[in-house]
Amino acid sequence: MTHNPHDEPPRLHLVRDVLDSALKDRNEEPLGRADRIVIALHGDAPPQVVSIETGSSALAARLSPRLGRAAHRLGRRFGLRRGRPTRFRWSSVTSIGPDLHLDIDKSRSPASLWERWLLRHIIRRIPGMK
Amino acid sequence: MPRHTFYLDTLLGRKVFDPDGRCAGRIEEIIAHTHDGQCEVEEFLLGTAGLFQRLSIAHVARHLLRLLGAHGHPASHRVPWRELDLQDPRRPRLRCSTASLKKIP
Repeated sequence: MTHNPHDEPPRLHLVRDVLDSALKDRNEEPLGRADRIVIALHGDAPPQVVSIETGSSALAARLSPRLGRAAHRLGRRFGLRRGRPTRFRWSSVTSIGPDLHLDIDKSRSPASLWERWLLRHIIRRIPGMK
Repeated sequence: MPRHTFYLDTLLGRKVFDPDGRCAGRIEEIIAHTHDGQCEVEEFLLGTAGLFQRLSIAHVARHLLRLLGAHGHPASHRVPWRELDLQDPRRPRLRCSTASLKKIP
């Protein structure tokens, strides 16, 4: 992110600074990567970044539409979110640096559904694990 | 006014043509600014110089190209958001002529 010394709003390069950046929650816990950026057009207003998507189905769709459809089908069959990527509103972004910090609590976020599922169904059943 | 959304990656690498059918370059980077929790697109960078900015090698690449005898990038332009029609993000079109665009040094 480029900071301008003359009180102008900070400029950022969306591909270089945002796309593929690591996402961190308010406790510095990893939430995934910014796999896709959603832009909205609204009348005569400038295009606006409205949200960031993360998840394997989002990344697959970015790499190739065919791969995206396959990942979506797999997600609908086996996924915990029916193949839908996790979407974070831009308004939850608190800072942009090497990582993108979001005002999100990972333990309540859909981004950690798989981790919580693994913890509940597998890790807790391993003897000696809590 | 209905809102139309699309993915940023849909635009990347797309060739941009002006109303006369001249190619102004490919979209390589998108510059935005943030204020009050909102992020608004300011301009689009087209061509090789845009790609160099995206890869953070703009200065090195410029010096290297100068050493090799190249002078500027023939199809590297800055397009203000108002001048780009994004109604079909797969076919972005300029609202002005390529000649009226600012070149990226």
